[in-house]
Amino acid sequence: MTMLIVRRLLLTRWLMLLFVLIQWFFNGYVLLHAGQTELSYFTYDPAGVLFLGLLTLISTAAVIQGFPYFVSQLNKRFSYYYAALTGLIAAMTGAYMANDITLVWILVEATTLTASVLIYSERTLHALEATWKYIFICSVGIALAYMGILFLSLSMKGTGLHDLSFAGLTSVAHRLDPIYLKIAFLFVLTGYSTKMELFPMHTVGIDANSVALPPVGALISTGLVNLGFLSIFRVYKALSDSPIFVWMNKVLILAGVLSVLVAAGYMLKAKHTKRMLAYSTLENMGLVAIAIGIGGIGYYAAFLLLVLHALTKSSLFFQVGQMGRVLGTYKLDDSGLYLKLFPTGAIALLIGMLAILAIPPSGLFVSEYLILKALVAGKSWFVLILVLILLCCVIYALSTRVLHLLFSHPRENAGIHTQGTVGRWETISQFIFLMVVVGACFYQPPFLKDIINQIIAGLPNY
Amino acid sequence: MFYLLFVLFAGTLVYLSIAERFRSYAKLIAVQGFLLFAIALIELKTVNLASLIFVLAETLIFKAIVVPHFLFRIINQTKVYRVHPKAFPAFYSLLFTMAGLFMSIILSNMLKNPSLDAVFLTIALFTLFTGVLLIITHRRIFSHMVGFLVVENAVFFFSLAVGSEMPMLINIGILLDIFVSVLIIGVLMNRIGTQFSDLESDNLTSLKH
Amino acid sequence: MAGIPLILLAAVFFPGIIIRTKSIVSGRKGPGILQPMLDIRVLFGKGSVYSTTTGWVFKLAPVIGLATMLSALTVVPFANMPALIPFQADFVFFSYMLALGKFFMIIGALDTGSSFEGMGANREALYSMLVEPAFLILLGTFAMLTGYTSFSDMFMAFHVSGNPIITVFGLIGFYLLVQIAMIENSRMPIDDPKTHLELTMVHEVMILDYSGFDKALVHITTAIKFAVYGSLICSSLVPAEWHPGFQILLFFSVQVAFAVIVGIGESFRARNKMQKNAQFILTLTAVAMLAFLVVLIVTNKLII
Repeated sequence: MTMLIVRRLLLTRWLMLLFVLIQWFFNGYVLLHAGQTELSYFTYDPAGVLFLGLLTLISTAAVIQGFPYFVSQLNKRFSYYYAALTGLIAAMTGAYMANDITLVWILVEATTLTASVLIYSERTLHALEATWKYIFICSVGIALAYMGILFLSLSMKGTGLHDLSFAGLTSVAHRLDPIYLKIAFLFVLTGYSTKMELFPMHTVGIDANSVALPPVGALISTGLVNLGFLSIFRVYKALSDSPIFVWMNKVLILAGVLSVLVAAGYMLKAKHTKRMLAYSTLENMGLVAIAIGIGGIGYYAAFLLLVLHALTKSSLFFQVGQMGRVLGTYKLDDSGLYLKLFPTGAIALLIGMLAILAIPPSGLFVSEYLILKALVAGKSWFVLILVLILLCCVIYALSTRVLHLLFSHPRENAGIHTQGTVGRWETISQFIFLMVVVGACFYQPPFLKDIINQIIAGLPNY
Repeated sequence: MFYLLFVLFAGTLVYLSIAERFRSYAKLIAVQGFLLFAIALIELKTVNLASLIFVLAETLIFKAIVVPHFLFRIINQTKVYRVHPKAFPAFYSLLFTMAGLFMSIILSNMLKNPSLDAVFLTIALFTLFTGVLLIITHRRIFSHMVGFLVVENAVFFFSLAVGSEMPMLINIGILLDIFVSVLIIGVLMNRIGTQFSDLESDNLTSLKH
Repeated sequence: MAGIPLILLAAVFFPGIIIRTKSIVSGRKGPGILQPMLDIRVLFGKGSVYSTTTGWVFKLAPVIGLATMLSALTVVPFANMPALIPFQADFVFFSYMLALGKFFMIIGALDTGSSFEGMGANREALYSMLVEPAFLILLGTFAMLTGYTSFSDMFMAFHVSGNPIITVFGLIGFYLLVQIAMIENSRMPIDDPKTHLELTMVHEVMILDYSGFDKALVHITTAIKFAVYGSLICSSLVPAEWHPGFQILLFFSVQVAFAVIVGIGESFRARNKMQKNAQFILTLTAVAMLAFLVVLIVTNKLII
């Protein structure tokens, strides 16, 4: 709230840093009190702790990387931007920790509103279009998710439970009417797929990412996507005892395969850098859905993929942001020769590309390998072959574009453009993230393994 | 006699599928708001008084008066009065709506639940279907907006059906109403109206590839 | 069985009352009420002229139209007396007898080889097809409400007053029957019988080539069709237990009222845009489905 009042840029920057510091303190507090419930609506369960840690890391980098975009004092938009940014981060933090379905829903609604303010920060026609689509389709999605919640509460009407906490739902799941649960899960999946960038309502995330400022894009592609996944996963886990468990897995695999299909198809035609990265998010989320649906080692692989994807994608977005500042454009046709213009950034981009494509030595390679292993163990040959082919398409599309960007001349004009310079030190956060991802290929720290094992402890098939 | 309100509500939905002027849309949304108010008044007896008054006030003031007022203002400001000339023919949209009514009757018979009145379920599903149909088949943004309002009405209907035991759920649904309606209608439609001279979703297709 | 002479008697006056009403509403005095009957008598005296492109279908069509109309009369009841030949689901028989007559009129119009009449036949076929579900759903709803499937039993068991929801359903049914009658007879707002402009005619253009005896048959069929629908409306409104003398009186007053309503409706309505006609008729089916929903709720069939 203070952000809205404060009009001086420097003061705003210091306030943002203060907010980031508070966020770190809160993270430490949560780590110390892991497993406890506070205010009867928030539980610091392992999944929330994990994702909160990620969010803190990425939001720090996002805030700092966002400073160069609002350099002029006269630009009054920065107060709205920073206010919305704090709102978004706070809402996501709350939603990670919530243990009641309706509270999660309210906070996801809040993220829609704040994110749309952030998307509209450039005030161009494109931005207006993307903001309208984002708000509209996200609201429809949220309304559908609400229908799903209503169906859940309807099915719980006979059991005497009067609140919609996840713990309560887990305890009665095996008694509930399967048809209502199926409908509820379908609605919830469709509704939250706007946030998680999964088929069927993935288009909003794509449009939003292609228009928003890169730090915002990083937050949307990692924090919000994790939030969407967590909302769906919590419902999935609560209903894992019920008779619809096998059906839920099938639906998740179907949604995942369709997401990867759509991502591969569109990425082959992508002409805008941020849009290309958004399609890559779509593809990774499809893989996560497939992993959850397959079960077994897939659960571990899904969470590993989520963590590493968050780190990689955010660093890619930051790098693309710097590339935009250097080249002045995000269109692929007009960009080129990045290696000559800004070598440090180009190296980061190259490592990031290798990382996101799951080419060893990337940590994502480990997770995707585990997913394929789980597919073989589950004998889903058709899904396996389809996923492999689509991943090949994705690798082709992304690598040709990035390599062209780095090494060759722009397609439209033959000259080299430099619109601005970026200091080398601004790429530090990206390298740190990427090094973590590369290191995860060889060595996964035990605290990570522990946390993930805690999260997936209650699931069958494990 | 109480069920006549439901049938009237279904009648407004049928009319919505064949209406061509935006003023008719706005009037129908107002009528739906009043009908929802009447239904809420009769149905919600088991909730404590404060949240009952809140629900009733919100329905009456918000759905029946404020939102249609906003819609009329947008029509007057953007001067777009009818659906797109090459819109989805009303014949087919009526056909789909009737198929939707038929399907929701069948679906609600399949989903028998002793704690839920089947008429509620039928009308809620029918409203959801009509709202989604409006969003999918129309080309102008105003119609999309109206479709979204109809979807919200469906959700409200459903929460009325479920709500006598869990009052917080209705309040949450109303939060949805207030935030999203005010934000979308009030702020964004004005912006889009001033930027684009024609409220067509065809204009909003520049974001490709 | 007593209904048939009454219906035929009403049919004698029906077209005259419509034309008279329209004239009075327009400020003229208008022709006498029996004038259409006198016209028919004149037509009986004339000979028919047949085009060389037509075959036997063209000559047969008006006869079949009248014959099917009279057969449909055999299942229509009156008051508390059953029809001449009542049987289960005879309302389907009724509907399809009418459809058979219309089918022969359509192929008779196609037989002339004129594209003009083909156009009218095309539209007539579309509108009949669209109005049929409305009629059948309405009568099916009646059947569901009363538990019987024969016209005679249905109307004997249907009481329009009593339950307020049944009254609402009765009103919806009344409106639907009036509209269906107007559509089946190709009156406003589907088709203006007075317009003889090309491209806007529907029914008039189908019978354009008939002359003499055949034309007389066509006019008689139209009059009887009006009267039959009026009789259906009367049966659905008036309870069957009332005194027969009272019934006869009410019957004629309902027919006269129906004719006046048709006349007034025609005077004040404009014809629909041709593309909108299909949607207009489909709306009737939607209204019929809503009536079906009402009855579902009332008979507690929705809540099992």
